[in-house]
Amino acid sequence: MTSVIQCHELGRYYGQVVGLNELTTELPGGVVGLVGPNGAGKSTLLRLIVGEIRPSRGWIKVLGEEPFGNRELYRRIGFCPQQDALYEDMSGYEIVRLLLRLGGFSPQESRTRAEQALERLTMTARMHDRVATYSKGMRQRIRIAQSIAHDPAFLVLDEPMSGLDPLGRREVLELLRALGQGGTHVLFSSHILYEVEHLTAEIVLIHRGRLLAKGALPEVRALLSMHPRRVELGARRARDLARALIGCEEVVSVRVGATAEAEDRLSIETRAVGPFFQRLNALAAGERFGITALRSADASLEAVFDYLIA
Amino acid sequence: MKDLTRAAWILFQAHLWRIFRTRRAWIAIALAGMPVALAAVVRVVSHFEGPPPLEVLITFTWFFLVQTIVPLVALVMASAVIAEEIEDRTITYLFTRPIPRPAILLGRWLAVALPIALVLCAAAELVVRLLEKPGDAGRELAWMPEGLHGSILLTVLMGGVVYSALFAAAGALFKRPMLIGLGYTFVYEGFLGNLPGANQKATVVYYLRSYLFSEHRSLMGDVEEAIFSVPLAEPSSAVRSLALILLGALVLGAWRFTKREYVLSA
Amino acid sequence: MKAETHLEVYRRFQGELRDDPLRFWPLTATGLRTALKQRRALLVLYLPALIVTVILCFVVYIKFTAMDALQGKKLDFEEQLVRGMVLAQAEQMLSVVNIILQFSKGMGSFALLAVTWFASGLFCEDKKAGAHQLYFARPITRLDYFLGKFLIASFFALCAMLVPLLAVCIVASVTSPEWSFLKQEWDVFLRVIAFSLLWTIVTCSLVLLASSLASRRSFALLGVFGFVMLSVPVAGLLGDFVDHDFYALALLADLDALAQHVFGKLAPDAKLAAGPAWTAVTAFLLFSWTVIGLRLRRLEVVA
Repeated sequence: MTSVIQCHELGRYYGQVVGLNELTTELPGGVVGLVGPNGAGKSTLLRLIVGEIRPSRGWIKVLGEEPFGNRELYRRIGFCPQQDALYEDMSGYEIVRLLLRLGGFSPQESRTRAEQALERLTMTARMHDRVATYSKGMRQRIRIAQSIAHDPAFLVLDEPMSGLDPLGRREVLELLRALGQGGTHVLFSSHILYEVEHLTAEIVLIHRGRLLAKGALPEVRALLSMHPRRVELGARRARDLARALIGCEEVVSVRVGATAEAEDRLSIETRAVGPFFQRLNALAAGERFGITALRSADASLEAVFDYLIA
Repeated sequence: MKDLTRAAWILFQAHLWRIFRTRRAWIAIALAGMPVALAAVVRVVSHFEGPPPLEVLITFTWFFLVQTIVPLVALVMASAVIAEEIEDRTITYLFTRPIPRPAILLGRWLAVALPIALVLCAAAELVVRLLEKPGDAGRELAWMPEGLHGSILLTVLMGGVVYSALFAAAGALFKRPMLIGLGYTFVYEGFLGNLPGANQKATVVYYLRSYLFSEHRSLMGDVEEAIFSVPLAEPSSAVRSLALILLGALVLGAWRFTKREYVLSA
Repeated sequence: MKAETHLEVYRRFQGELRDDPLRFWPLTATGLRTALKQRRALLVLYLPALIVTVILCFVVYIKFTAMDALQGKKLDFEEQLVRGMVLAQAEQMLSVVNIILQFSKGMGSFALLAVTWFASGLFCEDKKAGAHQLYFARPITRLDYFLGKFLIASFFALCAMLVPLLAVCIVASVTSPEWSFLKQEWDVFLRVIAFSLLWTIVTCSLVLLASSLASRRSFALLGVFGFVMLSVPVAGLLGDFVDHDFYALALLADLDALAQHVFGKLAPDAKLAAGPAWTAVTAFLLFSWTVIGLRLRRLEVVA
């Protein structure tokens, strides 16, 4: 897969404050989630990508070109900023249409595209009302609409789900998935980790201005060898199973549920997931422990996030 | 160039009608209305009969309208050309469109320059008309020296447009254009423009004064004659200089706007 | 969610909550601390005033010491002539009270500038940031809020006016022979304090009025400067062509007239009499406090 973004020793400083520090990476196409705690540098990276600011050091290329002041590149990029800023006295439709006109579309085509984009974001009913009368969620939809109206090849969204109710978030997730499937490269940042996970397996994790991890989530998890994998089991003969497992060399620790209600729960830590599951299969087949539940407790993005940030 | 004019035209159209929905526009109209209101009051309650003395006209049009109101109106409207986009953080949308950045400055400046010109010319015309009493023989402004009426209107028009370009450029060059504009108007021009000497030529007000008074020197009065000891420029030369100042301001503003990056608060 | 405690950072309050009559004081103290961080502005605005104050103190010092040096000597004709010239020159050079009067007028304009810079954002920036919602969630009244902000503005005005004027008065007292200035002109101190307080109230009211009406600091700045600058030609036009009392519409003309009146130096043929100046200033203060009060009431309701 060709790289959409390439950066080499990319750094951005705000006076004494480090926004990004020596970021060297290539980001693939497709749908990629950018995650990190507050102040990690996500917005800084996105602003560098869309050419809003210049790097303090290093360089960055988007779709093979440097973004700052690159007018032609802006025909292929759509950007949805995080800040809640719109022309308050214009309607949502007027804003999207104006920005399409500035994008080089004819008046007629601008009208059509604006209507289509707003329909995709279910804003048709309110599109002629002034933005000042919109709720936070509606304003967010307008911001997303203006970023997709010109069918960009690469869509960059900074916290696209913020301000949306659960229904709205689901609609946006579906929209981004559809765009990704349609061939648009999508890079979005979010705090809502389970939604990132829901939408894409490809993540980029940054913290304190540095790249901590990138790639498919399971692969990133597998790389975290310093953190044994946790597996949670439910079994009717939990203690007998525990005794059997404790002798296996793949198993680091076994913990039985602390309370009476949790007596049938086991929490197992293992350094080698594959061999562990093979051993578990063999044990389960050989003796009836009555396994009722099996869950990989820390393969989630949140767990990976916690391990890497801590 | 084609992209520049096209984008500037689109922005001009989009923002022209927005202007009159903003508080700034109403403040500017109120400011421009002040000499009109005063002219009405003075004419109703004053003690002079018939057409007013020309000194009164000059006091209203030159000292009040051109030297005070015109720069203030231009400042209120034009300092926001870029500053408002940055403060409202809407500039991100414009920067991520395939348009030359100077088009943003040019389009938005045109969208304020036209209303400024209209409002100020209307104010000047009303002031002149109001200063004559109804029923005067001078109803067709025959009491004014030939050409003065046109000169007043053109001076006001040129002043509004040039000052608006200067303050629009200030918005692109500086972080606090309102402050810079106030300093320029009341300190730089107020001080330098009224000091005897060639330093007056470094001000806009010198060229506006030249245009208005070159052919009406008798209106200047003895005191002003003493202060303004620098020979006035010819009207055509004054217009050229003003045009140069306007172009220079816009070009400088556009250049800086293209190079500068704007770090917006979250 | 994993339960956690952070006892190491939480300290149980062990004090005593009491009602403090000076509820506005924390607001003032914080505002001053914040404003005083603007070192560059302080330098640009107050350094010239400091220089002028030092120069004037020196001039006053010279006046008194020149007189003192020439007294009590047995002089011949030439020396008497020189003495006469020097004394005349010294008298001509300056009357200390007139110096203070002129200085008051100058510093009044400067105080307006300083207060406008430091205080124009006091209300509008709070509203813009939504900070007023935090303030009014505390047990402070709108009056406390207004007083807190007013004192911040007053600090800068008094630093610009009262401090330099008192400095000149003190130098005059100390350098005058046998404290003659203090003995003969002791009322100048009271006049200085009175005028400084009066002008402080006027300038702070103007700036806070602009701040309460504007949506952002730059508008408030423009409002103050615009009002002051526009009032001069408006008052001039109305005063010249309608009635002389209209000169009182110009705040700077009022400053002049009030300074003359407070120092007892008002000329009978002055362009603007003291009466209209007092009327204009009083009307302005009433108007500005009414508007500020209405705007502050509205702050709580409209977020």
